[in-house]
Amino acid sequence: MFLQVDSLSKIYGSNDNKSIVLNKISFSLEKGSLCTLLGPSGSGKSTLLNAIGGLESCQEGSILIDNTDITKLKANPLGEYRRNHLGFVFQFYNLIPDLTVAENIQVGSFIGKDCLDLDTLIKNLDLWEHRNKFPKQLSGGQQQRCAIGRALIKKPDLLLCDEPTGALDYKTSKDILALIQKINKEYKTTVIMATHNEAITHMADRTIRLRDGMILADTKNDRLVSAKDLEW
Amino acid sequence: MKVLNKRIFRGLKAGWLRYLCLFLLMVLMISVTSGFLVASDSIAKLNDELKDKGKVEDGQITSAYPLSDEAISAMEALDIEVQSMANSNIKLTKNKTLRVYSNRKDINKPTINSGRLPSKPDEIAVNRLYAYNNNIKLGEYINLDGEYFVDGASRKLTVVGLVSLPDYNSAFSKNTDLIFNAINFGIGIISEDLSKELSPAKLHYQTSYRFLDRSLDDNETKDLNKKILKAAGKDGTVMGYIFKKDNNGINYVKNDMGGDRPMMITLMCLMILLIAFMFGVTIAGKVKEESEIIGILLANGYRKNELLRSYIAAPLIVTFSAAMVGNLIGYTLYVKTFSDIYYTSFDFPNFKAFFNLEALVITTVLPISIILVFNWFFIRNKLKHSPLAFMRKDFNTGLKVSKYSKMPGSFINSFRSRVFMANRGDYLIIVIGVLIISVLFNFGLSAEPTFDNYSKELSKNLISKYQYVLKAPVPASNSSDAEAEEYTIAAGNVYHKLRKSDEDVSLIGIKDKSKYLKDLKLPDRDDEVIISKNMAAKFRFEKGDKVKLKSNILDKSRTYKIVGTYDSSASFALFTRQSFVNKFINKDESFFNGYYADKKLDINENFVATIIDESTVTDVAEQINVSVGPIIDAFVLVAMVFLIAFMYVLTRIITDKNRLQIAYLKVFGYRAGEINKIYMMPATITLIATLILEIPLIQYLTKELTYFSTLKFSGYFTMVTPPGVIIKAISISLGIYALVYLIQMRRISRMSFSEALKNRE
Repeated sequence: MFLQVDSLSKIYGSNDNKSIVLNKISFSLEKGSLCTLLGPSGSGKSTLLNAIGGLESCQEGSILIDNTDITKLKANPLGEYRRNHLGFVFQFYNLIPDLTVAENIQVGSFIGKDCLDLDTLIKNLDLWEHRNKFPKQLSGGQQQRCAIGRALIKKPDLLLCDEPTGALDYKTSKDILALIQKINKEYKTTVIMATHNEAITHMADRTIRLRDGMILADTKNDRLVSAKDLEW
Repeated sequence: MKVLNKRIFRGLKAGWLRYLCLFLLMVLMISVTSGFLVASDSIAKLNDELKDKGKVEDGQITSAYPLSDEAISAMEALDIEVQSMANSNIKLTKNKTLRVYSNRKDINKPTINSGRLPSKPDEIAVNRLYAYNNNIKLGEYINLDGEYFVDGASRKLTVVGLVSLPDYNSAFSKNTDLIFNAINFGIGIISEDLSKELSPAKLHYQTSYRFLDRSLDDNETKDLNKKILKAAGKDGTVMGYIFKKDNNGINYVKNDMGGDRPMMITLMCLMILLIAFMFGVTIAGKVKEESEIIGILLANGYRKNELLRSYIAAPLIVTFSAAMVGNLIGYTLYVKTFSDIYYTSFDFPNFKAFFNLEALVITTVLPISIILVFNWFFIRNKLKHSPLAFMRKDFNTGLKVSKYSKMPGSFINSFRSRVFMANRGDYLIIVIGVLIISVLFNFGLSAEPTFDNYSKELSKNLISKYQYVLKAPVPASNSSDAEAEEYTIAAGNVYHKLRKSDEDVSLIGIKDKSKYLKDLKLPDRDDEVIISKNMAAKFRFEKGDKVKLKSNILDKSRTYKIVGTYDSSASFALFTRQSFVNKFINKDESFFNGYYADKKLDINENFVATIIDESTVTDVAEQINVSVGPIIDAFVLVAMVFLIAFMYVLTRIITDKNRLQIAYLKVFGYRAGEINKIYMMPATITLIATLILEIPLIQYLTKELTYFSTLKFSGYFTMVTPPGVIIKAISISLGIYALVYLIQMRRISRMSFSEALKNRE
């Protein structure tokens, strides 16, 4: 298994103010799979994603990636782990406003070892015309494509997407989802995508449903739908 | 508005460390300024009290012999009080001289600091500062050599009092001295009985007078002084005179304090302006960070002024608190520090601090006004956008689209340059702030070599080993052996525009083919002069300029054209042919009143007014260091504290403004070193570039600062900054920055990235 999460628990506060955000979460993923974490607001999907990304620590459990338990890693090795293995895509893009599109993507390539070709990637992302523009000069969809490019250029083993279409319109959302699906197929990148949109689960080969920090269901999808054909 | 007000204190709490730094910086500046103003103004009052109660003289006349009764009667007929002030300069050691006066009854009366005035022949009172500098206590003895007394017997006098004298609160042994000397020159007051035993051969005859009418204006004073001189001159023994306005012993301290005051207030305003900048960029960063909230509030009907007030409240609260605390510290701590500085240079009645409303206004209203006005306009400009522009963060940041490069090295460079451009206002403040602080550093560190150089220049540029100024043209028996050369000197004044007062200068008439001034090509016309290099520098005269020399003794003035400068003279002098000077002072061609000589001359000392040799100039550096040293040290210390706080706050503002971006980079796996290269390196480069590229500008400004701060001295100080001082100043700045850099590195490595991402959402 590429990723193995075992009895992962995360608790905020103590005693009367105790809030269990993740409650003994366990699941595993094979390399190259596309998994959606589905659940309403407050179900714990972003926290789980952040924990896998080494951004949040948990009180209990383990997260094994390629047999390395990242919950045992200290700040610096954890940083190296994110640097060498992970790519992040957020709902609000998190682009650096003072850098152009090309430079924002270079933020990813600068720390990568065997990166994709910048020009080819920019063209594949359909951003060639906009490569010298700043984020504020782009639409939401273009910004998100730029953010995906930044995550992808260093060829991460694991791409973590937190509500990547949460701030986008219907058509743009489908374009972005198609791009993520393409990345998953072409580069064999393992993708975990948090979403509250059930329709998106049809493009994923695995769906983990969360509510109140617990897994409600963990299902495999045998009939994959192209992102272009998704409807909601 | 009440809801917005709640944010003010929360904002202060959230950014407490940054606000604390700015608060401490302001407290430092305000307390130092307040302490200085209260101390100097209190001392100015005490000084006035010393003059008023002591009935300070309005003028003095020196004569070769005591003025005749007839002359004194003629003077008294002019509605003035007259008192003989005969005195004797008694050498206590090789370097130390005590000028002994008889107890004064009507004019120049002493104020007692401790003990009492002498009443018996074996008692003496000395001026407080001389006693302090020479560790003389009440009850101790002072031995006066027998050569100063008629009977030739030495005297052992008990010190019964320490006093301040209205005509000597700056210890100038001669009015033409470059600086006072409170270490080696003091005043002693002896009983009338003992004064009668002083040897007439050693006596200097001084007659002081005071106007009975205290309401005379400048013109009336001038007229009366002329009449007094005329009346005193009936005897033909008058050798010189000093009017009150020209008497350094009386006026120096007032001029000295007068010069320090605007400098201190200017320094405070500059620093407060710098702090205003820091507040401004902090708030601008906050406005940028909260732009969506601002947009929503504006869209909901809030007025820009309401938001402006809420943003500007925190700096005003900090400034107001700093003004209060600063004044408290100023009154309790720095008043003592600054009064001590004055009391180690001058004599005054015992210190007491007076409440000073003007100082309070300057140190409260002025800083608050600067912060308010600057930030009002600065922040109003930041709030000029439309609600929609705020919500969309759609500001014109001035970033220019440029072609990208795929080279990894150039990526970091372009990233850095983007950071630099986005924060250019902050870096500009670093440039300005470092410039101001470096000037203070440079000024403080250059002071000692500058004063040392001044002392060396004085010695080096003595025209001859001995320069005699005579009361009358008398021959020297060994003149040929000593290679004596006659010259004529006339005292005069030249108005200094920047100093706004007259400066003493000498008009010197030199013989053709002088042995001592070989390089000097004397002018051919009687309306042309060569001026000394230091005079040219101090008055900022150039070849071709006109200089107007006034002679109060002759009651005439003359304008000369400057045709050159003479490098080897440290004094302020106009050189021309001896015959021209003799003509100017209405003397015949053969007249002279001075000698240049390489050996001591054998002349009747009754005819010698002054001897200038190396020993007369070597005390200068010592006294300057004693009187100016503590202020200079305070300058360097304040500059160091300011640099630490300034660099800390600025780099913190920059890292805080980029907190979110730094968090992103941390999320992506950037190492601390890489983040520092991007976000701290621009500040490092700016600082280093500023320190190096600004050297010429820093040197120029320090030179100007030295010029203006030493304008009050009767000399010209060429600023000397050895390379070592520049290296030292840069090293201190870099050392301080290295400390700040380490603190910021630690902050960056501890920044919580997940928290920043949450805030973003």
